[in-house]
Amino acid sequence: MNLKDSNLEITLQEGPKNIVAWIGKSEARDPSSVIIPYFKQIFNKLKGKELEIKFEQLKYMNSSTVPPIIQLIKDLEENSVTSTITYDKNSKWQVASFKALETIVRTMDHITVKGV
Amino acid sequence: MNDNKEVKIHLSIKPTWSILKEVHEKTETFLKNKNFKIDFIEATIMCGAELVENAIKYGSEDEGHSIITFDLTTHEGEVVITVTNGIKDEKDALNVKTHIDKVKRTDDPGKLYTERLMELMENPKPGVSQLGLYRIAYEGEFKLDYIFKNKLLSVIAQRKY
Repeated sequence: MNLKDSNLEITLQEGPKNIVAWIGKSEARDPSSVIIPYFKQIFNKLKGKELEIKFEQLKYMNSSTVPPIIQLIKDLEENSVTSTITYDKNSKWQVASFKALETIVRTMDHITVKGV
Repeated sequence: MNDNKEVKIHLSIKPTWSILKEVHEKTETFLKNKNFKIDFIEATIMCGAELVENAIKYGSEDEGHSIITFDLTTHEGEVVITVTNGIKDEKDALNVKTHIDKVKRTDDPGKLYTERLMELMENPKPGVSQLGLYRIAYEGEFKLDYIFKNKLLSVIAQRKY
C-alpha cells in the first residue's frame, strides 16, 4: 500500500524485510495530516519484521515534514521494530538533516540512521 | 531596498501555498543559469521556501498588508533573500525575533536545530515544527536578521558563495 500526495510518494515493499521508500518532494502545508494517518494504516504490517526506510530518492522536504518523521521513529521504537533509516550521503542537505536525526536516535535501541 | 544592489528576482505574492512552486522554480532557474553548484542551489531554494512558508502561515490577511514580497539578490559574492509580510499577530513576530536572536548569538546553529528535534521527540505536535529558521541557519548555512517596523516583518537571509 502506497501513499501519493502531490509530489510526494511513499511506497511499502513487503518482504522478509519491509522497505519503505520516500520519493519526490514533501512540500505540503501540513504533511502530518497525510503522513501520520498513512503510517497508522500500515503500521501492523511493519510490526515483527526488520524495516528499512529509504530517503535517498527524496529530493526536497520542508521543515513541516520533520514532525511526522519523528512521530514515525517514536512509534517504531516503542513497538520494537528494528529499523534502519538510510539517506544519500552525497546530498549535502540530506547529510545535514539526517546527521541531526542520527544524534537524537542514539539513545534508542531499535533505530539506526546511516548514509549510503 | 538598496539601489546599488542588483535585484535578480522580485515577486509580490498573494499568500497561497501554490505560489511556493513559483519561488522554487524561479530560484532554481536563476541560480542554474549562473552555474552555481547544486548544493548551493538546494540550500538557497530551501531558505527561500522556508521563509515564504512562514510568511504565508503567519502573515497578515488584512487588506493592504496581505501581499508578501520575495527578493533574491546576488552581489559581490553573497546571496541575499528578503521576505517581507504583514503581521497578523505580534506574538508571531516576537517568536521570529526570538528564534533569529538565538541564531545570531550561537556559533553552532546545528545545536539549536538538534535541541529542537529533541523537543519534538519528547513532545510531538503534528503540524508544528518551528524548525525552519534553525534549518536555514544550520543546513543552509545562511545568516539571519530581521526588521520589524509598521506591522511589517522582513526576514533577511545572507550567505557567501
